[in-house]
Amino acid sequence: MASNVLLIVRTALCRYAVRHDDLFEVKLITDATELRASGLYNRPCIGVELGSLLDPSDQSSLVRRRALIVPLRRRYVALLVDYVDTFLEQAASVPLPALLRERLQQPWAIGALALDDDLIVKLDLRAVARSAMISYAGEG
Amino acid sequence: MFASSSTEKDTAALATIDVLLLRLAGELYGVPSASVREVVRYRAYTPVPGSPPSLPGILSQRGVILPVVELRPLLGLAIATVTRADRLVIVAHQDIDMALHVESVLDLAALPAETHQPLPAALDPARARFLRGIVHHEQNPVMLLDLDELIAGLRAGA
Repeated sequence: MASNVLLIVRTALCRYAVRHDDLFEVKLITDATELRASGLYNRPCIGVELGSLLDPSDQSSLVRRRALIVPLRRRYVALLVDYVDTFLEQAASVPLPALLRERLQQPWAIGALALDDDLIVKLDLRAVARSAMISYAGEG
Repeated sequence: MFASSSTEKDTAALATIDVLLLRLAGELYGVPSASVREVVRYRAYTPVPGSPPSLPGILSQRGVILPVVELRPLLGLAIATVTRADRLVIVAHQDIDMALHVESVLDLAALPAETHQPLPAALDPARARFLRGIVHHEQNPVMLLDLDELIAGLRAGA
């Protein structure tokens, strides 16, 4: 059954809201090579920095990362963030304004919510993970 | 008949175009004042990943989430650093609410319609597309922004 739990995650420059349901798990890692260790998951896992994927200027210098493990059909994608700040239950998010929604070049942002006087963009992590996998395959 | 014709002339002479005067890249522009809801100091907005340069983010104004419209890339103007004079003009037009980021706001003005001129033929067509014409305010040219075309352009990917 789908839950309404949102996680607020932090990159070097931004906070984003993500649906807990989009995740297989959240894992603390100190070295991205841990993700490639055989036997960790039953599918290959690639690690991608969430911050720099969404905004190239958003570069983290932290070593300890939180990996948001997103299950896709043939792989897991680990989206790396600095922190997972908060779990919010039944947080009210609203859709993006239609004018902007129609013009998104990538289907990553699906809404926004107000938190601590800030607006936070809600992401579709599965869409982000699919983009990450495509760009990873392109590099390979 | 003659009297009526005279009245029409008088009315035409008094006709005005009501705009909010604002500045972008040192040039004067006018936004139809009927569409302006409020003007607020510029503040940082929340960037939205995957959005185009003309619609880079969102902000909350009185509890409503608005898209921020950067007019400079739309009008082919160079990007400038934000100063204390920068403003956000909150506009409601058609069924769209949006925040236009401008360099500064001067005042509301009723500009004489008789000074309306077509756009110079030499004007960049990419910019001319979003303008209705030119009127004069204290002998300065004011370019009239065409909000219908602006929204159509934003929707079409300008």
